Amino acid sequence: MAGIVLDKLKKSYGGTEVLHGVNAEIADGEFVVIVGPSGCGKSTLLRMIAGLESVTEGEIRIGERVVNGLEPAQRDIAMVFQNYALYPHMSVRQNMAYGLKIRGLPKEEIDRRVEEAADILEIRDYLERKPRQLSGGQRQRVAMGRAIVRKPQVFLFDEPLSNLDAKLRVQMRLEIRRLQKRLGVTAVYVTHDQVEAMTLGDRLMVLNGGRSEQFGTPIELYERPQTTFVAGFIGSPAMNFLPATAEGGEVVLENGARLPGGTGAGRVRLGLRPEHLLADDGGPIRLQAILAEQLGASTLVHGTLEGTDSALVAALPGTRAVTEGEVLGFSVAPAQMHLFDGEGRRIG
Amino acid sequence: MNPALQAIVTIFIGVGGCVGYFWLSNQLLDKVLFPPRGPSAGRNINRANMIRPWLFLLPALAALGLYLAYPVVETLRLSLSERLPEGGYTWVGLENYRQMAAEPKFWEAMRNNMLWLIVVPAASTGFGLLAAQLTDRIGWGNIAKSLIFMPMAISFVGAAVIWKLVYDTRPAGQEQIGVLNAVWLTFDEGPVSFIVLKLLPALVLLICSALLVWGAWLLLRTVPALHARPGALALRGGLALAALWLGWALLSTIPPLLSARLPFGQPRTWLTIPFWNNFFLMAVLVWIQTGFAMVILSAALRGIPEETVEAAIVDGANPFQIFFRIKVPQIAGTIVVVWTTITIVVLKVFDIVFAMTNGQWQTQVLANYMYDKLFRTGDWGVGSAAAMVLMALVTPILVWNVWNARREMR
Amino acid sequence: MSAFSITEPTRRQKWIAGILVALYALITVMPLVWIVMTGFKTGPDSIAYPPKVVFSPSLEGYVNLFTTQTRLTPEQIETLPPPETWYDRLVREREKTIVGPSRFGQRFLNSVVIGFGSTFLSVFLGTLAAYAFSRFKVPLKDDLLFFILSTRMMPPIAAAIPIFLMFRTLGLSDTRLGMILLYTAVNLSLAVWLLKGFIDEIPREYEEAALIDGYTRFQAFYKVVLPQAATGIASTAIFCLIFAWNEYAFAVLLTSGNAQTAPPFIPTIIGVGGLDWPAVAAGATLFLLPVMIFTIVLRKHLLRGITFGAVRK
Repeated sequence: MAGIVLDKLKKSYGGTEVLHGVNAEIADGEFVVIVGPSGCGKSTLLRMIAGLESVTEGEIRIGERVVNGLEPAQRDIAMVFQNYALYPHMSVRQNMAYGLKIRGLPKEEIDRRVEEAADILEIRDYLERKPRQLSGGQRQRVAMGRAIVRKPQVFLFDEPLSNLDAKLRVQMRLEIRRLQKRLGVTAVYVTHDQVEAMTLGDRLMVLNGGRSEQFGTPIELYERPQTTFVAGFIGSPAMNFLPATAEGGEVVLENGARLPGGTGAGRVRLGLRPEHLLADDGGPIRLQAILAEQLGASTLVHGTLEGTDSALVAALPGTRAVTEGEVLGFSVAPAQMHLFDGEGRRIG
Repeated sequence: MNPALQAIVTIFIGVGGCVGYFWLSNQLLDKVLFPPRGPSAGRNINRANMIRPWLFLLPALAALGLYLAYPVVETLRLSLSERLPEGGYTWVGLENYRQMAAEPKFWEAMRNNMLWLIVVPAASTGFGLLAAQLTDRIGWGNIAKSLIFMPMAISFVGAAVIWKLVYDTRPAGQEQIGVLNAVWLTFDEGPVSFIVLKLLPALVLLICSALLVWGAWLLLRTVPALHARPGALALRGGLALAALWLGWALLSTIPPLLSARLPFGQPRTWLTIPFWNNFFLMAVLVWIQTGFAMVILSAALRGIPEETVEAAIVDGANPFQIFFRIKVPQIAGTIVVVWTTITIVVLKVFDIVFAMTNGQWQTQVLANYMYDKLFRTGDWGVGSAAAMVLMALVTPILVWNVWNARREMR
Repeated sequence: MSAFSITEPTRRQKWIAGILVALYALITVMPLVWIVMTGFKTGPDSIAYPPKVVFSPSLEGYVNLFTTQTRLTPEQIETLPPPETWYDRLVREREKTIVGPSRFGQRFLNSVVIGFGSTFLSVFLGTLAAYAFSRFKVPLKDDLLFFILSTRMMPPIAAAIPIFLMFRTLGLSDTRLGMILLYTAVNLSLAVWLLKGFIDEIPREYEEAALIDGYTRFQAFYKVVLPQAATGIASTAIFCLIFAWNEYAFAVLLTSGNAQTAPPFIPTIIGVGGLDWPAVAAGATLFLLPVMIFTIVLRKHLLRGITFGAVRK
């Protein structure tokens, strides 16, 4: 077992730099999720750890070893690919055994390990089938089986659930988490889905434009997002951002409404999570409704801040009918107000 | 009349005839035979619609039947009968086949056809696969592909002309115009000649036979697991034995090759060296077909999901394992398509042999043998029998191809 | 995923691959270059040893290809008027004179007429049949289709004897009409098979819309289907044309003087002491050039034809 250290990791293609120095220390046995929008460099980062991409600058250490110059097979890692990457011409058993066979393990040992993994993943019945005879979820299990028979120091997952339907995705998410805890192997998991990231990771790295915006536990990211990007990316429905001015312990909105709380002075952006807006008829935040989305357990009211064009969404518990143009009042606890400066960095 | 003018008039008549047939027949159907009017209008429309497809199909089916299907039946009949001197035919049963089987020239043609059937598809597919793999790795791969594909554009007889020039010989002392002799004459007893003409070929033979033995081992290794299916077992065993035999045959040519005294300094008439001249003829077809194999296999190689290759890298496979164990099995279907397509071409081969050696010096093939019987000897019976043998050879591949196409359609 | 990953070859691998491919491409192209070059050599240059790579180009081969000549004695040359054109002069230098055009022009014309004639016919009939197969309910449709497919795989030469006899009886031997009909039949199977694929790709809804708008079946076919199948028809036509252009076996069998096409003619151009290589090479170059251009430009479409649609891209 081993931790991973990324030290000022940079990657350039030709002249364009796509990763601008990423640092991270991943503890042994930790489950780290790298999350970000497409094109942010998250897959590249994972492939660099795997050894499928060369490192332009910086260092990757797995355990105590610097692995920059090592072939993927020498890094003691296993990878689960987005499209599973099962060898279509081999049976499930052969797929799982291939890496062990190449390492020259004795046949009995290979069989033992394959069957052990098959039992864990409950795919024993399909061992002799070809991948094309399996459903998406079964293929996913085989891909994971192929990773765990290797008994690697690190698991790498590259958006492994993106090809499954929503229901199966939730189920497999739980299974991946359980499996990783059971085996105690360090895991790095790449996804663009923030729900997946929040539920799976011990810690999350939010990657944007080749830079790590924040690296912390899911709750840290939710409660104290360090940038507007993280604030907007984590949490669903997404956080509201309103232009505002901070002065003397108060935040003044565009329409003149004053909210107590906040530090600093001058132009700021105020971030408010929809679920933190509390219905309060006399509250300072006035929302002019456009429409409501009834989700059953809660209702999302879409509208604008009264007197402005700034969009505002509020989540109300239960069901609530809203007519267009109706004005609703809300208040918010000072601790749940997030202030960001002009560069998008958190204030306070 | 001027031939060009005549041609134009013919074209007009032809086009007019075609369009006329189509228009008139449709008019006849809709206006005269089953007009959609009157008391039986509904029934007439149905009838017209039942007949209409045949208006579209009939000309094509008639042409195919007359020029391709009928001749096959007629060939069968001719092969079982003998032409009488005073005209007419008499039934002779299998006499023509017996007569043919007694001719050494026929067995020579059969042997050569088998050689062609093994060597040309294998070499074209092999070279094509290699070229596809290599051209995908270099920057100017597309230009190289166009160059290698170019012979595909050339008719067989054009290729035969070109290669005749390559193999051309002038008597010793005179100046050589053939490329091959020009190259040959630069060799002498020196070490370079030894390396190029003996060591390299010996190495190639050694590698080929090693590959064959390896293949046989691969086939036999999994045999114990197959005990349930005797058919598969027999097929595998047969293939493995054939591979071993071929490997041994290749291996046994190495010592004589190394010890042979080559007639340096004398121009060779390449196309008259028995047995080996077959390979000089096959080279022409391989030259043509490699480009085809390459282009199709290259597309197939590109269609392999990159992820499976990466997974193999993570699994620790080396480049050879990736190529042979991961990539090639994934394009096996395409390799079979290429192989069978080339096999069909090989069975049709006539032009190259006819134009280059006309079957002399032991290069006879079935198609040319048939032509010989028909037009030199005037023996239609035996010629037809040869044609039937040729068809019998095509039939398994044909059936298999059709079966495959049918399965794909469903 | 990206063009710079480790799965890409290293610089050394690229070098090795590059050298091998270059070698192979060279071997492939060499015979072609050789034949084109030989076409521009003079008779003595063409049989020079060591083979001349650098030579002064001459059109002698092409002149020989298109003309018939007689050898003259020096005395006879004295009596002739001075040569008027450049080709007269060229021939005169070899102590010969042009007595008329050669048969090559006529052979070439035959190839053009037979090629285009049979292409037109097979595409026309093929389109009709393909449309019927694609759109109508035809009894035994699959069986008919596979019968058509299998006729293409048969070696046509195996059907040569009855065709030879039939042509003799019908008086079609050595006529252009006979060759056009024959090549039409040979090409039809491929034309039907390919065109059916193309027409299948056109959504039925277009015709159904046209039928609802009051078109007859016939109008729907030529006003809606034909324009949309144009690319497919064109590539099928080129495929048929190339086949008819290159065909050799039947041409040798069934034609001699009148309707002979270029392929059987070119390898038999005899000069002094065997084949007149520059003329043969010139003829081959002229003959191969159009097809080579077509083939390389339309590589992808042609592959579909060669494999009966098994390869679509």
